[in-house]
Amino acid sequence: MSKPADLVQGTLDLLLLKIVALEPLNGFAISVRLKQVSGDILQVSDGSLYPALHKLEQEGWITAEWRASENNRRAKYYSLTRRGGKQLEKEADNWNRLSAAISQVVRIKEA
Amino acid sequence: MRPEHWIYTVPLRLRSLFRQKAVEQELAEELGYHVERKTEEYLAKGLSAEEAREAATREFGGVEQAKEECRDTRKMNWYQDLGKDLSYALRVLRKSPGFAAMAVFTLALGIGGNATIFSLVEGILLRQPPYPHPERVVMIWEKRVHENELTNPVSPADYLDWQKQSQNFSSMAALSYTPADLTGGAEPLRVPGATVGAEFFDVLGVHPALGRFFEPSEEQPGSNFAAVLSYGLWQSRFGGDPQIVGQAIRVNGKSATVIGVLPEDFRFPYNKVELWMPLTIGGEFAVIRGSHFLNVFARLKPGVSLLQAQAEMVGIAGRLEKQNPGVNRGHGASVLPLREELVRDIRPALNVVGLAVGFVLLIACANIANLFLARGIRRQREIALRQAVGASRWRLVRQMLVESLLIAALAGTAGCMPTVWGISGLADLLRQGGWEAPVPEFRLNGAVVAFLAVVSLGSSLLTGLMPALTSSQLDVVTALKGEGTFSRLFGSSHRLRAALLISEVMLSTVLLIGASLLLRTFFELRAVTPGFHGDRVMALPVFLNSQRHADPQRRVAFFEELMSRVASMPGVESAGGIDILPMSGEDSRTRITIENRAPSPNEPTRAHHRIVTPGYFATMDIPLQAGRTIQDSDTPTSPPVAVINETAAQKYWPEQSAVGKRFKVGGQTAWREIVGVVGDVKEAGLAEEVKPVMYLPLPQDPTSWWNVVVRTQRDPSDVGTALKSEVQAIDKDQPVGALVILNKLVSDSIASQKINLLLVGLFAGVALVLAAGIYSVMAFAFAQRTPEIGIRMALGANENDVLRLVLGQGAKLAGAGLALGMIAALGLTRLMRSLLFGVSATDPLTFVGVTVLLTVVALAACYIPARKAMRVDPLVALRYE
Repeated sequence: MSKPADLVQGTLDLLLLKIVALEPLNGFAISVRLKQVSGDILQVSDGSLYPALHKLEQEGWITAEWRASENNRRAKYYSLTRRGGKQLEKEADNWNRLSAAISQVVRIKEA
Repeated sequence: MRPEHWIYTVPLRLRSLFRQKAVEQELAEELGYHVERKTEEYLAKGLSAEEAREAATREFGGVEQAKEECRDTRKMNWYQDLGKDLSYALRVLRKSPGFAAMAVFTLALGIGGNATIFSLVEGILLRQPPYPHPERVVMIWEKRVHENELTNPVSPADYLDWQKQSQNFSSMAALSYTPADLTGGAEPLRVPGATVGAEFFDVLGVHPALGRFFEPSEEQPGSNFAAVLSYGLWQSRFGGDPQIVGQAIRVNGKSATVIGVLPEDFRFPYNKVELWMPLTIGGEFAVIRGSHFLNVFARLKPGVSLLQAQAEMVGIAGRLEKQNPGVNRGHGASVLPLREELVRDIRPALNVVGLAVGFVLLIACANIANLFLARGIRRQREIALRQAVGASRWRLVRQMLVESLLIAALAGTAGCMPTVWGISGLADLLRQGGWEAPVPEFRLNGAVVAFLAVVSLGSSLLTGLMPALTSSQLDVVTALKGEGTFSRLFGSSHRLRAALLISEVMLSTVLLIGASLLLRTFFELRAVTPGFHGDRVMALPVFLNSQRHADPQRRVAFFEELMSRVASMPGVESAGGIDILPMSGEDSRTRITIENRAPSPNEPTRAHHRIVTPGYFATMDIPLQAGRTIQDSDTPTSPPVAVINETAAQKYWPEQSAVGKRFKVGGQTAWREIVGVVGDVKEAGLAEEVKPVMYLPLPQDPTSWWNVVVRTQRDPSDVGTALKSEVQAIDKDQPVGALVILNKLVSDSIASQKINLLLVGLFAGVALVLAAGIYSVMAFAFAQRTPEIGIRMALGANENDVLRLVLGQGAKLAGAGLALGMIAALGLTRLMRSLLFGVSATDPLTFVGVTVLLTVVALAACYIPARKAMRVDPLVALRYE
């Protein structure tokens, strides 16, 4: 279980954006889904989840709406904006380039 | 590309600002929901309710802390971005201090100048007089359209009819200015005074500080003479005596009872009236319809509009005209807001000056915008780099806007100083220039500071926006590689620069034309001779109040004795007297009836009316053109005579000698014979038309007003005191007015033209300097073209070709600007028409002159960088990056 602190700076944003891109969810559901789709490897601590979500909202990459959740309580649901979609693309690209570069370095066979 | 996230973030930020409580509640609810779901999970795993909640909360790791961090994300974005932009802007500006200093300096001048003029505008046009609902106070004037008089004073009979017949005013009162001589007790003192109707202070809405104001019964002649003091007079002459109400004082030789004192903050805008007395126009005065000397003030009833009141007054005046066909012919009425009275005369000047200073600011902004643009081009690599690492174009534009905002803010703050100097300088200038209307207290108050801020903000947008937008729109890859000619990279910025240069030239053209027209006006005025020689001539006003000198012949005797005493004073070269000095702002005129001539039906035959003693014409050095001047032999018993001026002679007796002809003055029965014709005197001012004037001998037309005029042999400083002692030798209680210097009267009469010229000339000068600063911009521009120039020279172009290229471009731009400026000037100078004298608003000589001047300046401004371009070594130019 890798702690968020081990993640490279900024990948939390990428992850959250991607989760929200799949379907609008509230904060709790986002953390559950992230755990789910990463096979329990990626977990974000509750304490850092909400500040991150709020920051994304301030940037205009996600937008929030209060809805009734399954048990009829009110929860704040986040969904991706168009600009957020572009940001997601950009960050995903960056990540791919970065991780490819790292993999390349790691794969170098010792001479 | 406008960021659409504005649609989300701006409401968000506004919401967190204004609906903090709701936002806090939501935050608590959102995090609470999370904790609840966690708790449920633990419950499902089998923990007790308590333990489940504990575990959930622990896992969260500090709800309050998380809340705090969420709050921070909101704040941080806002401040953080601004802070980053600001520190970046500071760094950038510090790297080019020369540019920053020049930009701040230029803009500060422009902003400061505008703020100064605005403070003047605010003090005069915008600030309201200190009465309740001042916009409902009006003045009602008699209007004589066919004589082109729109604000004529009113006759008592007309006024009383107006009062009776009008329905739209809650109060109406008349006013007549009369000086008041205070005697008894301390030194005799003459103060400006006024007689007013009982309702006058109701019209203004003022309440007394002590005592009360007039009652209608006090308007009747013969009643006890009441008086109201101004606060200043109460303090200065009566020591602020709290028991002043009810005390008797001597005014104009009569005993008066003080019934009230005005509050300290009372301002009557036109004259510093110190003593108010009741206007007695009952009895015999009530039927006077031919003599017009009243100013009428009124307050509109609530709910009545100015137009309604105007329509009603026009109707009433029409009725009166029908009822009094001879006397009221052509007399209409007009209702004007009180403020009109104060601003009427100076509004055109204020408009012109305001426009001029606005142009200066625009030119300064254009200059700085050009500089920003040029810098943007130099910084293209930096811009490209930042875009490459992900800064959005909007962020770059915003950051550049912050730079221009910083410069504008610095300039606005720096501009406070020139504003303060400008205001006090302007106030001094106006006062010295003999400004007729009282100089309002204009100063650096809240409105002016607000104006400074708004103008700074506007300037920052003007200077920064277009260059920022243009600079950030570039082809990143090419820019990074440093390749490409500049015109290919920055086509649109070239267009912008050309537009800026053209508009600078255009604005400068208009300004210079305006200033030149004013300059010519001033010179034309200075060339006008006043009709007399004022060197070493001084005058002392003396007013004999009717109480002490009721008998007209006694008044004549007083003045005649005074004149003979003065004539024999040491140091006096010659002496004479007249009732109304030229260019004093006062006037008197009557109808005349010419012998053997029927009165013309449309234009009344009139002459302006002056009373003189024999020495007057000689003292003033007014030439005699025919016949003789007034002599000692003209007495009450000798035949009635008059001397007229040249204009009267030409007008009423053209092609003949006027000497020997006869006319009647006003309603008098005796025919007067013209015994002489004298040269014209500019009675109304150097710029005004000369009207027909008749001079009557004092013994034959006694008056209470007098000015003792002397020409001294040298310039003694104590003439005033000497004259005063002569007056008081005859009557020790007779007050005198302030000494008048004739030459000052002359220069005061063109004071406003001088001021206009100074201000607009100053602005035009600044504009020219700034426009010559086009040179510096051109220098940048052509420095940028250096690679092109180098290439052309390498390809065989010689120096002359390059020179022609550069000059040609400069001339094209300047020519376009000039042409546009000429067209604009043709339209705009008509605003100045009322300020001009002796030169038309489309004077060709001026236009041509300015064209030549600006062409020379523009070509010179191009020439210097062109020479630099010529000297460029082609190799260096090609290597230039």
